[in-house]
Amino acid sequence: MNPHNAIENGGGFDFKREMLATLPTLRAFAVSLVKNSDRADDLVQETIMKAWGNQTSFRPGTNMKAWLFTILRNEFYSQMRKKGREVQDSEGHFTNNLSTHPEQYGALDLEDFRKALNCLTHDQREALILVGASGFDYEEAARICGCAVGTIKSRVSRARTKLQDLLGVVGQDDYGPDAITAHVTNRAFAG
Amino acid sequence: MAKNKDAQMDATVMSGRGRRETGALGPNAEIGRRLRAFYRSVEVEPIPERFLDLLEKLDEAEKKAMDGK
Repeated sequence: MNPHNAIENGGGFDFKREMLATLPTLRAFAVSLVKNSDRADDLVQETIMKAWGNQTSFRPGTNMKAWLFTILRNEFYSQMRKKGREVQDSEGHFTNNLSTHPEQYGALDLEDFRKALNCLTHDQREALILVGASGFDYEEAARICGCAVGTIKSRVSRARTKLQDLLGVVGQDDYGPDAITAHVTNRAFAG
Repeated sequence: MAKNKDAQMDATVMSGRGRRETGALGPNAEIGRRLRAFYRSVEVEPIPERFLDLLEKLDEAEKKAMDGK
């Protein structure tokens, strides 16, 4: 009996359906991690296959989203290592093409943000996404990334500060040294 | 999940499902808003056919394997 088959287990947990439901956010995570969006879909495809092959190791009722994100992340870094790429990428350059109406996020704003996001290091970017967009808390993000909670916090903090610099944003709820907005326009973009 | 949030001085945003949102990535923070707008823009895209096809194939293969037993 396959415990993941809904018909066999009386209409309870359905692995395929649960995975389908998670695909939009999984895909968004992949797109955020990988600079090339086509590659992001390849990565999602690999993840689906790996997850399917490992489905008996998933306990129904536990966090499938975290499980899938972990698989995807591991696959991403594994591929990077195979290609001999630096896992800690250098921070990219950024040309500031700010649109003038930040409240309404049109295509230009999203594109600007995307470019700024690509200027972060991998670990900053993934930490920021997991905690700020994918809906995980610090503990879950730390487990997914295989590091300490404090490490995630500092990566998120650095990511946020860097994005504020790149995008010329004034931090409204900021506190502490990062809130010194007077220096924002004077900071260099490239790392 | 919310029980850890009190201990987090710089608690960050959740996805807007009524959980407490404070701190530097919360709804009043520009970066948080832009981050979520960016993420959301991908989430709302239709699931590529290739994934639906793949899941169908995997599911069928599994069913066949079970029927064959």
